[in-house]
Amino acid sequence: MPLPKATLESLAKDIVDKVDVGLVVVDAEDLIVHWNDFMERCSGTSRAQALGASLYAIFPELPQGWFEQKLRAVRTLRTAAFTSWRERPRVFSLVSDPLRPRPIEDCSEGPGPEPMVQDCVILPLVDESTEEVFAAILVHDRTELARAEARGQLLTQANTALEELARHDPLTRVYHRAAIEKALETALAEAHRTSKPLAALAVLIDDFGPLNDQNGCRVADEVLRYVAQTLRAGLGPSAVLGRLEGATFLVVVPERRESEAILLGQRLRFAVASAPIEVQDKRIKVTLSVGVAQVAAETDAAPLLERALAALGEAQRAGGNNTRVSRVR
Amino acid sequence: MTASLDDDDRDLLQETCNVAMGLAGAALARFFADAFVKLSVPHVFLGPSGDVGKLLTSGAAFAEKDEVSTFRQRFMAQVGVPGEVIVCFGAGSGAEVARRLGHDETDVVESEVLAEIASLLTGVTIGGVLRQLFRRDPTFSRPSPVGKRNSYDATLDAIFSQRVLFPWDHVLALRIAFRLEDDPRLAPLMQDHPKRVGTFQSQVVAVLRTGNLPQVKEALGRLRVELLGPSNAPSQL
Repeated sequence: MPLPKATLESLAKDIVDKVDVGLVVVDAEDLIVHWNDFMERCSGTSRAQALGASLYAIFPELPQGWFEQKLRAVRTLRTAAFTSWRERPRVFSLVSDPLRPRPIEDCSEGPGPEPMVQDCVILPLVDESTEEVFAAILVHDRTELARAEARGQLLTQANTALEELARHDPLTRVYHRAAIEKALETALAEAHRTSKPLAALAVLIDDFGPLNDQNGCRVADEVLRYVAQTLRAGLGPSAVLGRLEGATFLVVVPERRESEAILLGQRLRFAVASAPIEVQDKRIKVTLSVGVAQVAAETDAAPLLERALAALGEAQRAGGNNTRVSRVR
Repeated sequence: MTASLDDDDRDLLQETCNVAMGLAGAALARFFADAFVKLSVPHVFLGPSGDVGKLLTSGAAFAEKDEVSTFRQRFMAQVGVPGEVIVCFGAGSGAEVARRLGHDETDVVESEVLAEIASLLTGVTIGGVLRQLFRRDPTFSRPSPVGKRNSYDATLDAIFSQRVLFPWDHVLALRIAFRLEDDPRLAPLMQDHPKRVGTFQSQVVAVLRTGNLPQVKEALGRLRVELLGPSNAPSQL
């Protein structure tokens, strides 16, 4: 049984005023002819103030030319128009609905109202008797959604940063042993897949034990940090650097031939040896030994690493401060 | 349930579309004041979704490898009759339409302009057809982007063969193409502005599932009675 017309009209008015969506109706001159409760509480402008006023007087920051164009489309074509919070988060300068349900954690939010992130829908309304076309602007509060999305993105960023951190040696900020070994495996698989060369360089700080004994572990730590930084600075973006243990580092350089790898080893050696390191008023001279291994047939990282370390051993036995290359027999 | 339309149904559907396009063309011409709006004759397709996707590539506004930006809008024609509208735009359409509407290019992003135009084209064309058929204003969702600068055939393949937007096996599709051209009567005035001749190329495809053919046939029957009188009502045996 349909309700009588008068009852329907009365109910409709209540629904329109109480619904938790902003509703503004403007006439052909963009003067406001309807303003619901939601708009009152989110704009701070009362119905009495809004009715009869120009939309652009109430919202001076609304881009007038752009919005007039939208209203013109709605009126002449009698189609809906939309704005999306992803492209225009705040078409109307409003605060997020104070009556919006909020999780407990939000109660501790800083002072002051929160700007409303919103989606808008603009619909044509035609008065059948006079043919006059009005435009209804519906404003949906998307503040919560935008915040949740931003939070999700932050979380993803934080997780990525954590993963990255977890791969690093806290002292030298280069990869720790497991990470550099994993990087070597990955690079080896890639080298075989693309048939491109790959070299591994084992790098050792000469006489690190005595250095530690004479100057203490704080100074030794500084030296480790300095050498890691210097190595990093001497490497291109495709190279990976890690600390295997104590004073031994490993450099993985994709797409390098043996001759290039030897040259790189020499450069790194000179970069560290060229000037003494100044730590706590001390000037400490540091040299490096380098062992170079070029990928041959091996498909596992372990034998490659062994060859680089064996070459490093040879360099050490030859008195340190030099570079040796592993020859595959 | 018959998953087909007879010739009378097809003719009437085509005629309904033609009438709606006439109204749409007039409204669009009012909106784009100094442009000629060229609307193609609407094409009706019916069949398995993958086949319809392939049919849509021939005689289309775009060549198979043309780059298009695509938007989708869902709609409800009436209770239980859902549908999809797919609007494709050719390269350069966003800039061209922004220029015609006098938008400041730094102020409005292309995707926003295209979404606006998608909603507008859908509303006047598909909205017009559905209004005539179902006797009520259809409700459209806001346009959402489904692809940016993808080839036209890959876009159709994703939508109709891989069915990324809707799950329907058999569909009824309606295709309309648009172009905006400068009014040739204004040509003498335009000689100082050779750059004015731009390209706005667009195509709107509305899709219903064939499971809703009975409702479409019923609507067409109602329309036939209104146009031709009760003697043309389908005989009920």
